[in-house]
Amino acid sequence: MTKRHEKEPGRGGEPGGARLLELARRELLEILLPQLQGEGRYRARLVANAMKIAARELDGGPAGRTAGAHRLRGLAAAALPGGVDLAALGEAEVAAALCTALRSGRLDGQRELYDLLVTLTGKRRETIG
Amino acid sequence: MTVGPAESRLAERKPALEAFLAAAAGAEAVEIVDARPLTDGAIQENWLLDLQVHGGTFAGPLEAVLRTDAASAVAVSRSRAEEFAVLSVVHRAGVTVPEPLWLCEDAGVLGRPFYVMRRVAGTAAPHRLMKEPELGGDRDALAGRLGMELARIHAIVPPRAELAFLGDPPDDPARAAIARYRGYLDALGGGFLALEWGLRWCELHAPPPQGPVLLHQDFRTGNYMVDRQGLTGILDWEFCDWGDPMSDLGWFCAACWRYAHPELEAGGIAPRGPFYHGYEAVSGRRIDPAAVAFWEIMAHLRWAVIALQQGERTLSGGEESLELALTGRLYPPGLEAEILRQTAPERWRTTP
Repeated sequence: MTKRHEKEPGRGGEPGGARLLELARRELLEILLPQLQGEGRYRARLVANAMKIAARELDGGPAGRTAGAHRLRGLAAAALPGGVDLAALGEAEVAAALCTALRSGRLDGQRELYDLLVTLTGKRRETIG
Repeated sequence: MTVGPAESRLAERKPALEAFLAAAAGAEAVEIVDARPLTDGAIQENWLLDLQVHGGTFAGPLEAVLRTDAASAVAVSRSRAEEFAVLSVVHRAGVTVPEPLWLCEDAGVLGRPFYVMRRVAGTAAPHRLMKEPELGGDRDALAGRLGMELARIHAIVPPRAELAFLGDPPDDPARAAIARYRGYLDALGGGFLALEWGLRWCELHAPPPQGPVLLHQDFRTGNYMVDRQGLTGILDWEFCDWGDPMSDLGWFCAACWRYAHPELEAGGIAPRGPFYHGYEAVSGRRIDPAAVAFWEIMAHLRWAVIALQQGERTLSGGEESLELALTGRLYPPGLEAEILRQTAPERWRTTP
């Protein structure tokens, strides 16, 4: 309960978005929820859930995403025909190129891609879990 | 009539609705004693109506449900008129459904088309079925009954004049669905690698098509009503179409529809055995477990695509719904994990 919060970028004494969401969520669940009934309780839980995901995403999202994106780029380099300038492609374009390769059968049952997809999906589940 | 902001639309239309109901029921008059909204889904709006019918064959109290489009109707689901037609066909075929009573396509009555059906007792809420073992009666018997009901639905085959709006059945329902899902993913902006992985596996491993038969396409726990004795009605016919019978079995058994009881592989209520036995006894069809397993993977793919489309409604669609936003955010990762689990490299027949 007494988890220490790293100081976020910006000025000291000004809690960032993740910390504000965390506190707002606590207020919602501990103080407001007990006063609600039926549909109101259901709605409050939806709100709390959304705040939890948003807070986690603000807290640790980008680093994990960058590592995954890097590995995808590596896989795309191996799977795609030569001549494609991967360095010039954005993250979305790399994913689109891999989708095309998947549909055409060039990545059928490929272990490296599979393992990476399992990892990436696992990370997305952690953010929402 | 219970009055609240949400009810005002029906309250304002009460005289017009009563006049319609009287004419449709062949009654001297119909009185709406009470009308309560059912908070149910983002697609349809359902109302519980307590009616008093004066004269005609329906004379007396009548408990009914009125079903109409919600403000944010989804284009892919069937219209109320089509749903009413399907409900009428399956009701005549002996499927346990709420008896369809009257369809109104005149927008002058409620502002939107609607139909009225006889109310069935019980609940469809999955969390109650998971927590209350006495609901639905003996669970193996319930699963068997659901198998029999599904077989009766699947006994309806094309062509059927009343169901002409369903169009021609696809020659290869699995491959048609795969192509459709790929199109939906492209429309969503693409890049869904885990889903693409699963779709490619399905493309390579689709069993030979069966059917075509009439499919419910949302036959699962949560879409049938039970009371303490057993099944009282199968609901939500809006996704009906012609297709492969095994796809409905796969949807019912898919892990994503077992709620709190993943170990009970028939919809979280029973083992597969009784469900399969009920289905085979009435249909005369032998179930190939591998075909059902294939359609369970397809079920996860389909639900993932639908969840993403619901999420997208809050993005490019501009809808201000937290519930839809969370649907798009919460469900796909778990569905993808299950798809990946079932399509690991060692399960690819064709390897590079």
